Amino acid sequence: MKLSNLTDTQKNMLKGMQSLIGLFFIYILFMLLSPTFRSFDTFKTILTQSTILGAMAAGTTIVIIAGGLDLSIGSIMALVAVVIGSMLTAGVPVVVAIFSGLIVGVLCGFINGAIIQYTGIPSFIGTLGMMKAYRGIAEIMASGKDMSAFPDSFGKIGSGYFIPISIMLACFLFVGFFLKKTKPGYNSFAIGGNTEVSRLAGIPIKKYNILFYSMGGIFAAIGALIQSSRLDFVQSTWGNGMELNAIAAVIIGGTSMSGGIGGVGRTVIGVLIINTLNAGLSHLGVGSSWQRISIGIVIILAVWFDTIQRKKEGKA
Amino acid sequence: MSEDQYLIEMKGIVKRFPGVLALDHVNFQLKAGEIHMLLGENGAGKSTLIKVLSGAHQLDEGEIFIEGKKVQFNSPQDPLDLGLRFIYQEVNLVPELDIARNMFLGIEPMKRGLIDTKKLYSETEKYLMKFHIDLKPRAIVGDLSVTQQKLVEIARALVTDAKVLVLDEPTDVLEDRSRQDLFESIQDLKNHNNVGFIYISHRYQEVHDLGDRVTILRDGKNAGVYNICDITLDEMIEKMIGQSVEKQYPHLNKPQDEEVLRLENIRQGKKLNGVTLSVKRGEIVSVTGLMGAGKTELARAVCGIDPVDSGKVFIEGKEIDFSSPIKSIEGGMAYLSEDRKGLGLILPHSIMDNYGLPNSPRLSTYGLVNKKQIDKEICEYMEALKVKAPSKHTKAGQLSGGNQQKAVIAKWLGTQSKVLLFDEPTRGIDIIGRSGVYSLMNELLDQGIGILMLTSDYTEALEMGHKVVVLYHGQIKKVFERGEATEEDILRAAIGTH
Ligand SMILES: Nc1ncnc2c1ncn2[C@@H]1O[C@H](COP(=O)(O)OP(=O)(O)OP(=O)(O)O)[C@@H](O)[C@H]1O
Ligand SMILES: [Mg+2]
Repeated sequence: MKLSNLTDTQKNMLKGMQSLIGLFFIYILFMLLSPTFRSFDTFKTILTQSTILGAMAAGTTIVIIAGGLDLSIGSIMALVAVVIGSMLTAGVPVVVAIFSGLIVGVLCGFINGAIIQYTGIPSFIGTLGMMKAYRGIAEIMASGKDMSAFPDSFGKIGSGYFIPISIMLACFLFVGFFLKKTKPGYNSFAIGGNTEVSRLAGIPIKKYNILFYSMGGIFAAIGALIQSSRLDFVQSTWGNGMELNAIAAVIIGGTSMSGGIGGVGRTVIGVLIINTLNAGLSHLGVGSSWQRISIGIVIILAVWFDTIQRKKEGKA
Repeated sequence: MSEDQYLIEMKGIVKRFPGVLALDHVNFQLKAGEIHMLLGENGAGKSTLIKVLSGAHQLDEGEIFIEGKKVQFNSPQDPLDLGLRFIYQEVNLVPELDIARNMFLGIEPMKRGLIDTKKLYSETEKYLMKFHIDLKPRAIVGDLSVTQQKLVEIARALVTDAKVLVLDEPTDVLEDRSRQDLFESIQDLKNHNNVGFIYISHRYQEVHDLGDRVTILRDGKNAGVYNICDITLDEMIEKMIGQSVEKQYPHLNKPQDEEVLRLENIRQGKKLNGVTLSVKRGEIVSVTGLMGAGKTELARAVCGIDPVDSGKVFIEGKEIDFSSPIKSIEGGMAYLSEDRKGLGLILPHSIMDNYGLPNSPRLSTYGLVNKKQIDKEICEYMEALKVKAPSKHTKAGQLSGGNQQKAVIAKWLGTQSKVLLFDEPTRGIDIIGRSGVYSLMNELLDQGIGILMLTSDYTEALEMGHKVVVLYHGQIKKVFERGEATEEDILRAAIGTH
């Protein structure tokens, strides 16, 4: 009953707050538990470790709000990395290699979108298929090649704190702007909420959806860019499971899996929660298996809280 | 534009669904500045005709001309670009989004290539005021009642400069005042902007009062075009059903003395402020009022869908727990929702399976469902209510709007609960179907069942109620005994002056 006294804007803000409060809680908990966690360096490290997942989850946010799902971004990341890696080792100029990588990302996303829109198969199936296919292509392209020791100028992109964090922030800001201010972005919420209603309102559903998947591809490519630059080598096994981490970040943030509700601000928080958990637990000396278990639990808790709240609201 | 040129001309339209010839060489013409009524029984093909025009369905044969030019609609975008606007029979809004975003869906105001959010919300506010819709632009549509959603949808059709407005049963759940607002806007657009209207309704009085011309469809075929001033209401209805009409409302049987339902002091936030009323065995109590007066809120509260702050419900003198729908049903109540698409029917299932849903517990022994009995009952109901469908196995989603409503009614009539709560029971049902519904209700009264009927149709409230309860701001404003009130009286009580 109390909730109904709030205005709708306040309610919306409250929803965004929920995961933010969760993040603060987790952060403070680790600060109390681990002395080494209490430093600005840790904070910077968490942010830097968030960059790759952050960039990719930014794209996933759009796809999920529009009611879709993209399981292939991990494989796209690997494919793009292999493309960039082989071009760089072949002596192609850095700018050209980066640009080609981004193009490959867009193309992969575009193919995903086109397949789903023109065959009418569910996005889960379509992108599951392409996840396998892109991975295979990456493996074929990478086999027998040693892709490492790239030019220094390429290494700058992912090194240190400043540049990668700025790239991630730019991704988030761009997606935020896209969702709030551009027509396709604005309409992605309606498409995810009810496709038929959107179609009858004259929204070009197919065109927009293909655009959303293409954007997902670009952000996967940006992830590949940061990672290959940071590590100074490339492997076709990269990105395995990354798509699920990106989906987890989006969901933990509070974007609805069934589409129509959400935002990129929530994804920022979701990404930070995941990486704070990982960092905090390793500060406490907890192994990676336990990190996975705790993230699993957080996913369930986050969605559960969301469900409870929605039920309450429905009744209020 | 020359005198004899039509705004819209549809020629020889044919539309087939599997097993159904929905439109059989239908012709239709609309002039600029006219209100053209489309009339026909449930399943006659009205909605299908306008969906062909809107590009929602692809036509199988025929031609469409807009202002004399032949057009081919490949997607719903094409007619929108030509200035045609549609309000479909079923609510077409995105429930997750707020009112403003729905109102301007696909036609968002832009500034320098970007969405102008400020204008979006201020314009929405303006239109909500204009239509006396007491809601905030940021209210989430999924939280609104069907009536409120309908008003939002009407407002949405009126926000853009349209050449043609198509309204498929816009008033089926609207009460008088909202209808008057709508009619004013229609007249205004007709006179000042020369807009052409295609208007579908089963409220025949308004068809006759509002329309300039009427095209009648029967079984997917043309059955005449008339100037409304040349034809009486009765003649019009006769042309529609192919026979003259008998009396629509049955003579109501007398209620018994014993009370079957009593609500005591039901309170819920600002929506219900202490409602107390009782229904006797064999009695129909009509509840009416303006939008937001608390009709649907009352039904939902009593049926355990929404929690209340305080209040008691008694059935046959015993207090029952009504904290959840299951408890209410066990207590002896059945609720027919106004929202047939959302709460009334499982659209991909057959008519028979939908009927079986609440009725199979009654019709099973030792956990085995007596299919034969279900079969027999649904066939009887389909006959009595004149459900137009190829068979009882037809999927609910493939029925016309009115026939879906009949299927919902059958489903709840069958439950033989002690108390039936009917929310807008005859919504979208044609004249023959209504007679069927009313006489079935009357039969139930003989079995001692009590009916609480929530309706926005004042005539129905008067004709089918032993008592008429008028709600105003969540309170009972007035109770009229049968024969005591006129529609005027009800309206006056509903707007709070009495
Ligand atoms: N999607 C569909 N699939 C199969 N049959 C359909 C479909 N839509 C409509 N029909 C059938 O087409 C016929 C015409 O339906 P339509 O909805 O046009 O009727 P209507 O005149 O609008 O009736 P009402 O007054 O009940 O709304 C009906 O027999 C209906 O069962
Ligand atoms: Mg219809």
